[in-house]
Parts: sequence; C-alpha cells; structure tokens
Amino acid sequence: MAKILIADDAAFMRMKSASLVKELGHDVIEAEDGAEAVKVYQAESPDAVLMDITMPNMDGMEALQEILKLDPDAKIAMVTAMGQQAVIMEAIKAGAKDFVVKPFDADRIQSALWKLVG
Amino acid sequence: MNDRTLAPWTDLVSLGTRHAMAGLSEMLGEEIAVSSFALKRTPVAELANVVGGAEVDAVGIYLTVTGAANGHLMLIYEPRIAYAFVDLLMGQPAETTQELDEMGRSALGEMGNIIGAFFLNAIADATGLELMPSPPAVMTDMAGALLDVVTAEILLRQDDTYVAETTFTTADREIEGQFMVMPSEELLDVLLKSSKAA
Amino acid sequence: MTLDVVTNERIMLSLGEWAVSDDPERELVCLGLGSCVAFCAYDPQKHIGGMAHMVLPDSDHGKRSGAEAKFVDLAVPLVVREMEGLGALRSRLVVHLVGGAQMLSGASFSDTMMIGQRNVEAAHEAVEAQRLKITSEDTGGDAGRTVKLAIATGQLDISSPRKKLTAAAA
Repeated sequence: MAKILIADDAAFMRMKSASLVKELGHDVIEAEDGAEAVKVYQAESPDAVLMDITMPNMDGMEALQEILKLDPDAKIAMVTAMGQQAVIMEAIKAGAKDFVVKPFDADRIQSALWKLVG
Repeated sequence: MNDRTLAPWTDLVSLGTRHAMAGLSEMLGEEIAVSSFALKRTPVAELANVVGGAEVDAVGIYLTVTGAANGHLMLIYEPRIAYAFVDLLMGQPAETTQELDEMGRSALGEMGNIIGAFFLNAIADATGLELMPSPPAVMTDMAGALLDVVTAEILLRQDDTYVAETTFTTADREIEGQFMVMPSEELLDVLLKSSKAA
Repeated sequence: MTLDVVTNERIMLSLGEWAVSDDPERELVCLGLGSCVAFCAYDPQKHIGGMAHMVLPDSDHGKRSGAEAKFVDLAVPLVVREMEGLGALRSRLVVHLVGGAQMLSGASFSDTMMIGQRNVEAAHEAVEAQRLKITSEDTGGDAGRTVKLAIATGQLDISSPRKKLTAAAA
C-alpha cells in the first residue's frame, strides 16, 4: 500500500481518481492546485503524485518542477487532457515518470501507479 | 477576411471539434453523433441570438486559450441540457439533477476541460503551435450576461467574431447546445499562417 | 390586463446600441446585462428618456472604433446630447446606472473579471463630466440584470432572475 497525492482543481476529478486509487488499495491525499500540491508533498511525503496540468495558482508543470527541486526522486505522473505532443515531451523532459491523458480508465491509472510505486 | 481565406480555419475548427466530441464521448462512455456543424462570422452584438436571446437562462462553461495566441472557448447550454450532462457524468439516472451544486459545477467544468483540451490538442498537433486552455469557469445566468465575459474583450478589438456551432446527440438523449469557439484575430492569423506553412 | 406593459413598444438595445425617445408608448430595454453597464437618463417634465448598452470603459479618446455606444466615455455624452436635441433639460435629468457585474472569479481570469467594475467607474466619471448626478445605482455583484425604462412614467424596472454564485469549476 502506498500513499498517493492527487492534485487536481476539479473536485469531480479528485473524486473519480481517488475512488480508483483506493480500489487499488492505496491511501489518498488531495491538493486543489499546484501550490497546494507542493505544500502537501513537503508535509506528507507521499509515495507518488498524480498531477493535473491545467490548474489555477500554480499549474502542474510548475508544481512538477518545484517538487523535483525538493525531492529529485519524486515519482510524479502527469494526468491531463492536454495531450499535445509538445506538452508531453516537455513534461517527460522535466522529470515526469508517466503521462496519462484524460479521460482515462481504471486500467490506465493502475498501470501508471504500477510504474510509479510497483 | 473572405470565405476563401477562411477555409483552412474551417478545416482546423472542424478537426478540433471532431476531436472534442471524441473526448466527450470517451468521458461519458457513450457514442456521440455530431448532427450539425457550422462556422459563422457573427457580429459580437448578435451572439446572444445564437443561443436564443440575451434573457434566456443558460449554463456557460468558459475557458480562455493562451500560448501561441489568445482566444475564447465557451460551451453554452439550456439548464436542462447542462443537468442532463451532470447526470451522464455522475452516472446518475436521467433527471436526477435539478440544480447545480458544487460537484455538478465541477463535473461540467471537467467536461469543458476535456472538450477544450481535445479541441486545442488537435489544432496544436496539426499546426505545431502550443495552445493551452485555462482552468474552466462554470456560470449560471442569463445568456447575455454570460456572453459579456467574452464579448467585452472581443469588442475591444473587433466587432465580429467567428462562432463554431455544434449540435450533437447521444444514443439515448437528445443534447443540443453550442460549442462556441471565438478566436482573436491574432489567433486566426497565427493559425492561418501555420496551416499555410504546413 | 396590465395595459401599460402590453401596449408599450419595446426598444431592445443590443451591445453598443443606444436610443432616446419621447414616445410614451415606448420602453427602452437592455436584456441580460453582465459586465456591461446601462446608462439610463430621464427628463421627468418632458417625459424624454435615453439609454445606452455600454460594453467597455474607454475608447482611448475615440481612437477605438465600432458601435457608438460601445464605450462608456462616448456613450454617455452622446445620449445626453441626443436627449437635449429632443428638448430635454440637462439639469432635470434623472440618471440611473445598472449592470457592471463581475461574472467570473478566480485567479485565471484576473484581466477579464475587472471589466464590470471598470465600466462602473468609467460611468461615474462620464456622468460627472456631464455635470449630472446619479439618482440610483444597481451595479456590481455577480448576477446578470435586465433593465427597462418606461418613457411615459420614467419608471425603471430592474430584474435579476438569478442572484447566483459564480464559481470557478474547481
């Protein structure tokens, strides 16, 4: 069992992702924007992060970089509808371990978590 | 701008819209058929007529586009259609939703996010441009008041705008609504240039 | 039967449109004002009314083009001038401002969300510049408004069917 941080500004998405992650037997903590994700990561040291990109305050790309500064081994998967080639490349280059394009199904989240936390 | 130079833009919007509907279909887990698609040049002052008048109640999902250039995306629906979407998104029986609570708003926002992102993804990948959607805002009010959000900014620079109107249906529910794409002239220029280069 | 309402001919003002009238059968109307502001003026002695559906605060000294009543700084003097043309007296004018709501909130929309407030501020300035006083004001907030001005009576009717919460979809 791992502790997974779900960062998404949409309560609806947090609800959907959290229920999938819990079904897979993991604990869930949540953040509503990028800035909060960085704060929560620092305070709670989750095993992995599922990170939306389009968020207010601080977007997911910036939060990814901030968290990697704090913890270069952070295991972060981007979870976003922004499936543009340029964005995917940028995220992987910045250090994201996986890139899940929304809308996703349960299998895709499972394979992402498998990649991140085994 | 005449109709001939508009052609590549029409192609791009049509492509983007097909992708957007595919994204929506995936999200809802239902087949979606686009029953009509039209791209029109409309005076900004008459936008409200497109949705049935300035005074009708409506639910709007609004995103701005940033990146290579700026623009606006707005989905605008009669309340009963918006409620039908919430029921589909939440996996509830039809007519469960009778008003928008926070979770309903969030579900509609996420729908706007998916539709907007898929639309922009298709255009971005076709042109090599980076186009980012903002987080969505979900608003309920008279259509005219909702449209003010985009019209004010567009009217600052131009009196006309392009509106892509899309109506679509799901297998068991008739859903009619507007997916309005309102590019700035600047975005249009950038898109036309890059599609010419492609 | 509410005779006065039924017989009134409505002049619907779309964005950037304006009208003045001394016809008692008429009613000037702005439907679904969001961030837009309606400038409403009335001469109670001559029963002359005027209204403008204003969209943006500033024409940058007339350099920005478009419909005449699009910009607050142009629309207010224009309507006042046209009312005077019909015989209204500036010193008698009763002025109302309606609209200027903030339809969006949230960090992502910091630029656009200020337009309502800026329109209201510009309207205050424009009214002062015309040496007029504001008699009533229903502006700001986050809900759309419809406003009607009856030429026969000067009666102002404001409806806001949905006082509602505007929330970012978070």
